[in-house]
Amino acid sequence: MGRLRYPLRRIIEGLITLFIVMTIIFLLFRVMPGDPLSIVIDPKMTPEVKEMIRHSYGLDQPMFVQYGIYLKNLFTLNLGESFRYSQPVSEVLAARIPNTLLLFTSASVLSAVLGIILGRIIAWRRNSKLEYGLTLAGLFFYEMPIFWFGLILIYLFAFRLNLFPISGMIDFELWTLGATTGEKIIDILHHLILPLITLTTASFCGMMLLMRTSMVETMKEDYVEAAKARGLPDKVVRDSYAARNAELPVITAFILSLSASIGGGVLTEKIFSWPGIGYELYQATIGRDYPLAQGCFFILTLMTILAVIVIDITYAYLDPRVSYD
Amino acid sequence: MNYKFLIILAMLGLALLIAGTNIPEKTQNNYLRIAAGQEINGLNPFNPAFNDVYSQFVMSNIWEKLYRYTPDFLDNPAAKGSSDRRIFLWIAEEMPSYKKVGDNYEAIIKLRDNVYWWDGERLTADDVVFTSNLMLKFGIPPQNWVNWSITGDESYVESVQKLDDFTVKYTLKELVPIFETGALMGYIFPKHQWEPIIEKSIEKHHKGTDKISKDERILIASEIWSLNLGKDIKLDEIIGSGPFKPADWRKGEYMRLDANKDYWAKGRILEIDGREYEIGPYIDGILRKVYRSPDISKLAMRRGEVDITGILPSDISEFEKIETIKIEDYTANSLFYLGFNLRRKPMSYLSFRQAVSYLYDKELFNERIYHGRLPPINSVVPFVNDYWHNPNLSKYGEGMSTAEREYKVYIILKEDGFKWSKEPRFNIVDGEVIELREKGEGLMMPDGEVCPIVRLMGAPPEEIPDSAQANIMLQGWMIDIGIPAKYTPTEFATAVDKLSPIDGSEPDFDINTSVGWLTDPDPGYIKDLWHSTQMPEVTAGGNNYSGYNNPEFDELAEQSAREMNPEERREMIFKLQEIISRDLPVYPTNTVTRIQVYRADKFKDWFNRKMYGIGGCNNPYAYMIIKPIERE
Amino acid sequence: MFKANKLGIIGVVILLLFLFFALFGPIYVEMMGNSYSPMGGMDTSLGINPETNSYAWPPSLKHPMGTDSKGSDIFSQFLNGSYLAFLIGISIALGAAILGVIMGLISGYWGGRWIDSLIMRSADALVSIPFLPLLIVIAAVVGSLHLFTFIMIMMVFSWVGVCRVIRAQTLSLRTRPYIDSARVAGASSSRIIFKHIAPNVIPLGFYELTMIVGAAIITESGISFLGFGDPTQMSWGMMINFCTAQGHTFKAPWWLLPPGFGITLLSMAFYLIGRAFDEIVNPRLRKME
Repeated sequence: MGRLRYPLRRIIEGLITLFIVMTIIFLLFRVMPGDPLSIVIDPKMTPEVKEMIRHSYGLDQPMFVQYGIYLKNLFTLNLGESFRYSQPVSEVLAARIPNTLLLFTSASVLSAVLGIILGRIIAWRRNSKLEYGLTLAGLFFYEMPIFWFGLILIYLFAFRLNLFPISGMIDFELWTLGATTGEKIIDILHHLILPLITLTTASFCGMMLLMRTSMVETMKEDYVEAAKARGLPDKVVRDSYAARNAELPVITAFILSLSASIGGGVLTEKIFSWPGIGYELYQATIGRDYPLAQGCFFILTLMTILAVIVIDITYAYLDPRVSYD
Repeated sequence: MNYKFLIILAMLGLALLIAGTNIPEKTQNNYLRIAAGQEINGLNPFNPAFNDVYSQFVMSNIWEKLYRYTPDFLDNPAAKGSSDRRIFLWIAEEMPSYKKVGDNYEAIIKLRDNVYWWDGERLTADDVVFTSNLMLKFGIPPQNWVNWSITGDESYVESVQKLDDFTVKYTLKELVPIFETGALMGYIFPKHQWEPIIEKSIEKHHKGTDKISKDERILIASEIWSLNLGKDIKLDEIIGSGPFKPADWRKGEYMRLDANKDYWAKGRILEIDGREYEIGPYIDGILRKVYRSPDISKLAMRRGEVDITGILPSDISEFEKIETIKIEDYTANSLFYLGFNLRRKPMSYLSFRQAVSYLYDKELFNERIYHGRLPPINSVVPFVNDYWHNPNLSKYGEGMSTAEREYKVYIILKEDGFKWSKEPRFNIVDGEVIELREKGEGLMMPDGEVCPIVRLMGAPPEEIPDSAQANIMLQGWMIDIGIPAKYTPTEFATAVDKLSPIDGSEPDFDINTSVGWLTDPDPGYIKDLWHSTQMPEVTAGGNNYSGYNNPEFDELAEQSAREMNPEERREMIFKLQEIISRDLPVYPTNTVTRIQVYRADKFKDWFNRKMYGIGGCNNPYAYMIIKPIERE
Repeated sequence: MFKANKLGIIGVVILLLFLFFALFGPIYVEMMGNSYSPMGGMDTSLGINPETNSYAWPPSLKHPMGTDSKGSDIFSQFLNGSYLAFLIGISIALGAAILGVIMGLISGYWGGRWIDSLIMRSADALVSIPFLPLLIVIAAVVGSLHLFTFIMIMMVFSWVGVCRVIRAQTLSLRTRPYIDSARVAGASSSRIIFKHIAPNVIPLGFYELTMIVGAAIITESGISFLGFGDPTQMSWGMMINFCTAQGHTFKAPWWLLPPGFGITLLSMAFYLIGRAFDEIVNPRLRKME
């Protein structure tokens, strides 16, 4: 009976988190001394015009009314009007979300796969030169500031070797002057490579080290020992007995690192001008486009919370040891 | 399991390999590719938020004006002094002719009869009257309103009438220079596109048969400017009369403008600097691609992905080596300054303001921190605006070393009665100040009170990356003398709110270094910035942040706003600059120089303009006359 | 025991090196004079470098790491960055440790009660907030993040990992016989927690702490790189920000590379030490050697 209650509880918890975070954001934006409209309002305008603008953005209402409208709008995904684009925030975001998902999921999958494979190898060969080498190299990449690495990659591969585009997601000339769908897909992939490498390199090591620790622990478990004792080949014991169970804790850690890696995603998008949510968030904050910044942050939080819930629930079903309370 | 991973990896690798090697070929074209630093805010010409130079650049290629500034009015000596040489007749055929009728004046403007909208309709007096009435009745576009009123309230334009298809009559309550240089330099919109939209909005918001009330006007105006051009009105449905039509727009990525093959001005000859240019457009169109970082757009330029971009001064040497690329610079009309809050001590002491001005070593900052990007200025009219710029103002310490400046400041403060618990000491050899030996401490003001902490309100580094360093150095020098200074990075919106509280309370700052101005070509702004009625506590949202109150200045400023004779007006403007430089409500520090590089092997007849560069929002001529070079 | 752990030793060596850098910073400025001050100092004897078209010169005897575009000594900035990294990393880790240990002990000791769920649910919530974007948003509203503000915010976000580890250990410890006997003997809850449980579980949180130090340093650099950092502090991230903002990313490697290596190596050192320490104190791993 716990089976249904657990996901339900996680979703409610997620909603509460979201509510709290968004309230904090509202207070941040409204209580701060600055006038959120100062970017739109030209100091040279007459007071009457300034008032007109305030009215058109609903900022002449009392604070609690604004808060009510804000919550209602969030609930209905009506995220307001972007100052800069003069377009509903949800429209701007709808165009950006697929880009972020493309970069983010492909990088997550790639680094998970790489991390698990390599982690398995080094756990099996503890204290070998290979382990030290891989651990040190992986750690170096893991602890590296991602934007710095991105800049170095751009310098080497885009600037010096001229292999990849420097920035953006598409070749504007190709797209606007007519290209086939096939050409467009290849163009996007071509632009995807450097940011993908940057994100993957920076995050696979975390998975690798976790996998290693987890493997080392599972290998002590009785059933692995028993399999070894039965004389099964190393490879079978490693892959079928130890690794399979070792992957579960790795998933937990993956959840924990999710919000941190979204931060890395923002920086990567910024470096490569990848037109995703993170880049838009950065642009919006720089451009003082508060509704858009708020919207971007809302979507990023929503995405993290959703991902955490989904992974949590799947994990709970996969691993019978997790209790549902 | 292992195999599955390997297969996924292999497939990904393969996909990337294909993508890496098999780059689609681009078609041959004559589009001009511009690397832009920022996405445009939007295309709706009525939206007050879209007054950024980027949006204005695109708009100025869509809609056109009755008159335009000539490209050479700023730097051609022959243009000085004569107001008609400063203005190009664009849609208008002649300069306005004025006549006094009773208490009022009449201005008659003749239009050309060969101007056509993109849809084939002719541009007539109806369009001009319609556009002018938008300003008079609804105050839209708001960013333009300031040109239609000198008091910031009622317009000096009484009414506008059509005399015949190509003649318009404006009735003016008074004759002011801003009418020609401002009001008549707004875009003209097609009546047949916008009138139905306005009428629908009036119908929706205007109840009863009375005059449209102020509240209704606000509703109507804000509805018009929230229209999304590109969606509510599709890109290809926008009607303009200019040389380039918006064709494709991927927000945050690029915008494509196609050449208007039937441009009405095509073949017209423009005489600029003694050279004749025939108006095109000759290129296929403009591709505007957004690059956020200067390093990246620089790389794109070097890789041949774009044809023109802005660079940092420190990048010049890289491009000097490339033969096919040429370099041009221009100085924008920006104005940065130290703004003092005269309501507070110690800023209320003139000697203190002079002291800080002497300490602010703008030459050193420009050389070391900004690398020539922010050339020093001494007047509130940037020198690029050379007709109105007064070059004979105090330079406050130009050419002095840091130690000499500090010594000078020490003397100024001491003479005015400032005291220290421990005076700063200097090494002076043969009358030459070598260095500061001991810092001053415990500064006391002439009235005997201890000098309070002076906060330097500066921009945080993400807005102006290097200003933080300049602020920190200024703070260091002030502390050397014993002035308790503290640099407080303040975000733009907060800074604006502190300078000019929207609720009409007193501004809350000591010294402002963060918010600068983008000045107009017309110096009328001087009055708006320092007239005593413009104090934020007097007029909510006013711009006289310093709280400067000088009847002498007020009177002269008002007089200058009504003076029609350019020579006389120039005298007054010069005098106003002198007063500001003497009283120091603000100390002008720098303006902005920008550098552009462009491909001289792909296009010819590149046309730079000293104040707006190539293709800036006020140099729409550049892309009308640029020609592609034939390639094999 | 450290001897057996080569990676741990590497970590200690790097850490000591950077600790030396951090302490050496003020001495270096003292030795070389005010023109070497990391913030605002500049070598006025330098001319323009034709290669970079600015005052950025590659390493020389006078400036071991070269100069930046205004002629400021990069080595001095690097040393100062090292000091700031320790300051930021250690203070955030300490704050997180205190919060995490207290929360973990409380949560574990009263496992299953409402206070436990409250703490663990808030921990879950904190984990699902993308904190770099949050920092960006806060910074955008405030202008720039003062160092102190940054440290406080990071503390709030960092204690979760420590708390989980401590809680898990406390949960298993509280049923041990000696705890029961203490309880029977009439010891108060707080006495049991701090006298009997804490000493046994706290070392296990050390590994998490070293991770936090690394994460704190990296996050600070990211925020500073984006331009939202404290402009009055020349941290490593700020160095990279200035380098990029001045358009020197691709032409002055002596400016771009040192801060990046500093961030990487120092965070790595902390991680390596934490990992080695974990293998020593964590009983499950110790059996493996």
